[in-house]
Order: sequence, then C-alpha cells, then structure tokens
Amino acid sequence: MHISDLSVNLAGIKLKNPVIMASGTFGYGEEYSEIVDLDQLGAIITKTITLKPKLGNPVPRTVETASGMLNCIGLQNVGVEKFLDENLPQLKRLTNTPIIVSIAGETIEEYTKLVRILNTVNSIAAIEVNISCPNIKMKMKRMFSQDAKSTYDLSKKVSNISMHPIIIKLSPEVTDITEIASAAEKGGANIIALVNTFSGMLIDIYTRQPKLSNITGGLSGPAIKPLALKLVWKVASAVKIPVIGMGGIFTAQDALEFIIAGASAIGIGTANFVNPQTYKKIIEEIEKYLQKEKIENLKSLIRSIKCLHPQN
Amino acid sequence: MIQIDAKINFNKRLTSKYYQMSLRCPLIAKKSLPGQFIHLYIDSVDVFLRRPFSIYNVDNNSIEILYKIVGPGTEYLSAKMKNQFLNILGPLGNGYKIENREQRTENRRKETKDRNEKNSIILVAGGTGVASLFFLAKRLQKNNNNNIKIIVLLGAKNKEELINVNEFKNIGCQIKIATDDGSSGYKGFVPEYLHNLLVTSHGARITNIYSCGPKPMLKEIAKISGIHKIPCQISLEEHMACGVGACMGCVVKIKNQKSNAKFEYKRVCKDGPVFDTQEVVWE
Repeated sequence: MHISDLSVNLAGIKLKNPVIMASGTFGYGEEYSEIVDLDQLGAIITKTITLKPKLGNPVPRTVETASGMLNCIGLQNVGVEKFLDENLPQLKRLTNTPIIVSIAGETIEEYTKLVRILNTVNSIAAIEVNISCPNIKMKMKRMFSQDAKSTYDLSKKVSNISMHPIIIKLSPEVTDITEIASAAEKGGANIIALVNTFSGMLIDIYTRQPKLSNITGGLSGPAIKPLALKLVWKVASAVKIPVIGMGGIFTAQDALEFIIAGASAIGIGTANFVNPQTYKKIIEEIEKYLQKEKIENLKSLIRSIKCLHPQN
Repeated sequence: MIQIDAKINFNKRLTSKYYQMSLRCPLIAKKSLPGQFIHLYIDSVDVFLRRPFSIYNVDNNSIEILYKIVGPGTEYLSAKMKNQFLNILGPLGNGYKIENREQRTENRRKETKDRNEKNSIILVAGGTGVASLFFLAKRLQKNNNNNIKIIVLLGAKNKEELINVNEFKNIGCQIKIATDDGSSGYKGFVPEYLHNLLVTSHGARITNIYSCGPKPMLKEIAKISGIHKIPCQISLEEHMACGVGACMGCVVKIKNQKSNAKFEYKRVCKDGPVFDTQEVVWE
C-alpha cells in the first residue's frame, strides 16, 4: 500500500510530519520520553528559557476549566546556562528529532543576548521567540506581541543576528493579529507560531479567592480551538512565511483543520496531559485520511481551504 | 512509567463515600513503590484533566486505589464496574524512602540496649491519607521480616470516616485512633495525639515517622517530628496537570541548600510526592 508523505518544510527545516510538541507542555523533552517515542515527532519545542533561572509563580498554578485548563506557571525554568549544560545534551542523547528552543526576556536586549548565546549551539533546529506569555510581568505594560512596532523591532533585532531560523510566537489577545504577524514577517522572522494562551480566570466561591495564585492565567485546551483556528486562518492569509498552528488540538481532525486553514505544522500541548499518546493517534489518523482521500502528500493540504463566499 | 488500559477487577464500596478499586496492570504493579501514584483518565464531560491516586496496595498483577467521592471525577469512578477499563499512567512519583534490612540491623546494633525492644515506626494517616500508607506498612513489614513494630495513627472526623482499620490490623500493625468528635478512640486531632504518644514513650526507639493527609495536619506533624528529632517523610498533594514533571504546575517550596536563594520550587508529581519534612518550606 502506498504510504502517504507526511513531511513538511518549515523555512528550510525538514520535519518528517507536522506534529510538534508545544512549548511549556513537554518540559525539556525527557520527562515524557518513557512513553512517547521522541523519534516519531516532527519536532520538539522546549520549555521557554530565560537568561537567568526563573522561579515562577506561587501555587496554585493550574486549574481545570470546562474542556480546558488555566495555567500561571510564570516561566519557571533552569536558565540558559544550565539548559545548555544539562537539559539540551540530555535531550540530544535521547533523540535526533529537531529541537526548537523557546526563549523569552523582559527587554529586547535580553532576547538578543539569548540569541547570541544560542548562536554557539549547532544542535538546534530553530529558536521560538516567546513574546506572548500572559503570566509574567513585562517592563512595559503590554507584551511585545500586543504591539506591532515592538514586534517589528524585536523581530528585526533577533533575525539580523540569529544563525538559526526565527519563529515568533504570537498572543491571540490583540485587535488585529494580522498586523502583528505582518510586523514580525517584515522584521525578518522566518516562521510565525500561534496561538499562545488566552487570558482567563476562575474564582473559588467558598474562599472568594481566585483559583490561581496570579489571579489570571492562560487558557488552553479544546475550549480555545475555534478561536485559535480562526486566528491561524487569518494569519496564514496575511503572511507568506510558514505558520505553526496550535490551540486546543486534540485529534487528527483538529490538526487537519489547522493545516487546511494554512498551518504548515501544528502544535499539541495540553492534549499531552490528557493523553500522552495523542501524537501517535494524530499521525496515524492523518495517514488514514490521506489514503482515504487519495491525497499523495500532506503539503498539498496546506492552506487548501475553499471559501465559497467572502466574509462579511 | 507505563500508560495502559487497565481492567477493573473490583470496585468495592466501603462506605457511602469511600471506595476501593483494583486494576489489573502487571507491568505497573511490578514497578510500584509505596508512596507512588497513578494518573487516571476520567471519560466524563465534567472532567478534563487526569486525576492522581495513591497506590494503596499491590496484589499479584494488580494495583489498588482507595478514593473518596469529592467531585465529578470520583463520582464517575464510583460507578465503574468490574471488567470495564480505565486508562492509567504510572507508577509516578518518588515513593517513601525505606531503610533496607542491612541498614536497619546496623542501626539496631548501635542503638539497642534492650535486645527485646523492637524499633518502631509510626505511620500517621489523616482521612484519605491511608491511601498511600497501607502499601507502605505492608512493605515495611515485608522488608523487616515482621521484626519491627508499626504503629498506625488513624485520624478522622468521626467513626464513619475511619477506613480499612482491619486491613492494617491484619498485617500486624498496632492501631491508634483519633477522631475529632471522640466517636472512636482519642478525642482530638491526630498531631496532638502523636505528640502525646512521643512524649509518653521515651526510649521506645521510634526511628521514623511517615505521614499522609491534609496539609494543615502535615504541617503540625512536621513541627512535632522536628521537636522530637525523628526523621519524618510526608506525602504532599498539589493541583496537577501533566503528572510527569513536564508542565511545572504542581510545585512546592523546598529549602534551597545550594544557592543563595531562600527556596526553590520542586515538582510534587516528580520530585515528590514524598518529601522530608525538614526540607519543606511551611507557610
């Protein structure tokens, strides 16, 4: 039987399939290694790394919602030094699957410092620039990704000096995400990734306190899928560079919707917590779909949405 | 760790709220250690994330969990029946540290004045805390050829909330009960009962305390074991998402030995759930 080709190309990075483990949901890659075959993944995006180790927010950091969850982890991470000394080598020992390192800072300088440090590392496939975490205090009131000019400036600075392809990860909490995406593209970014989480909250009616320590947190899971899908479609229609789409993807059907909408690859995150075998299910069922629909390769599905009527 | 669809051997109703379930999972059963837990998928629209359950017992190819109905997840579980399947991930977590036989014999030789006096270990269970301590008690008895005295302090709101007291008795543990309302045993909270026990048993060579239960209780147990200078391990809980150490959701403040920082955050699901009381930053 003819096996369909699931490979995709992200700005020169060849992935064997479109399934990527999203940042913040897969640790530094080795936590799930006993039950997830890392070699089967398209790529792994690490937990966001900062220049110095970050403690993160107090607990409670997670709470379940209807069809999803809120988190306010606050970027707890070991810092770039320990990451390069221990976590990255450990991950490279475990798999040859492309590793994408996610980075964040409070100022453009911190981002560029991180990029310069990562320039000395050969073993990574790309850098994902996280400018959209809703759970940390920024020096400016808003996230970089909530302002087109800031996004452009940051994209330009890091793209100019980076030896690795630059992925900019966007927040969905903006009036016009195509403006932000275009700014990132104009600045020189190679790939756009979206969405980061939506900001939300829950309250304990007996203590009358917020259920999260940081009051608000990022919402993820199936609850956000239609919201994320629409934003991926919008961005893919507005930029020429490849898009990694994510937000509530749990099934192959979800993944295919994002690809048809314009994503060249998809991220799964919260789904891993519920079923760590999600990656396998998605890959197998995409294969079945391609065979059934007599589609030779997955690439031909990217942005193949048929909109019969213009949007009002 | 292993992810598997485990068949339910039985789902026993102990009281109106407490249940005991047995799940067939040979590979998980074989690897399980006292203090570890499983992460269980609940197929209900009212439940999204998996739920963690301490491993209560290991029996042949199966593990058992003990649970109380407190919400939609445990409600769902109570309705499951023999021969149905549940998807579980485990064994997870670090387990209680147990001295091996050689260490114990060596310690005894050093300490024992009276040859007939056995070393004692106290297990302190608050409410559903029994869920992780029964497996521990069994393993301690097995490791020591039943040659140590295990005292189990069971604390509950009232007589009705006392669970599986006989199962502990049947493996040779000495039971001491404390209920808030005095409907059984000592009237009062478990920590004060423990304190009284330690004060009145000077020289009873209590070598270790292990405890599991509500956090305020564990804080008191930590204080008391510190005062009496008895090594104490506790099993903590925290809201979990991934359960395997990937998301950094379920952390606890731990004293930082290495750097200048006052504390660091460790993961209850992976670096725990068992911690030494002396390393936890209590708030």
